[in-house]
Amino acid sequence: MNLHDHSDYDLVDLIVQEDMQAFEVLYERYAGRVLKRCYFICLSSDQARDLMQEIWIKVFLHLRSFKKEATFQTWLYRLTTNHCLNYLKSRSRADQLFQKIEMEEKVPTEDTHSVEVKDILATIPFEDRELLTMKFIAGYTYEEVASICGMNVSAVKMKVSRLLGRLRKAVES
Amino acid sequence: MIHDEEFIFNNVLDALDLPEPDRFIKEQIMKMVLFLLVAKEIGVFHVSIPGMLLDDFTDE
Repeated sequence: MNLHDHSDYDLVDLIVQEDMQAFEVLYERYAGRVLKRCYFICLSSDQARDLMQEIWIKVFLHLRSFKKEATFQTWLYRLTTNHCLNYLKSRSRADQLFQKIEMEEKVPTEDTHSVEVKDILATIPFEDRELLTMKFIAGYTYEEVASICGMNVSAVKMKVSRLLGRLRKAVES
Repeated sequence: MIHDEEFIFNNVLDALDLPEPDRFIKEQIMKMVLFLLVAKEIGVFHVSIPGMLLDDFTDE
């Protein structure tokens, strides 16, 4: 049986036995989603790439503690969120310590349109961005998102619809 | 409706010009994991890892 056909749980078992190929397959399965998730939390491509590397090392280090009470994706999603939020907290503390106002770096290769969409995204509160990432990056259903966030389904749908409306305007402008 | 939403969100992702998990990132991660396996083998596992990566993560 090809490793790509294995379930997440099976791959986890193999990785715990130090199977590097299984780790590679699991990485390829979820790398894109983890990177997008990191980006949606920190809104920086460079930071997202750095955080993603740390997160996958952390996955390898902590996989033994994964008890399979949740899906691997849920566990990974939580690990990613915790790691990114801890990073943002520590960065915030460092900024306060040095009384430094961090200026947003404008990457020369980033086009104006991309910056505009990113600016709109930055004005959306973290909790609301979470709804979008859970729905469209993690692939949860509306019912699951509502359950995780302690909201009712119609409220989640309405919020997502409004957020997409704002973003669509920015994309189309 | 659902497909419309996904279409809009994908347009947002395209507009953001998000980073892709390229070969360089993957190689870095695989090298680090290999390094950790070797470190474990020769008994220097814990001193080879930055503390921030050893944070307790047992929440499931």
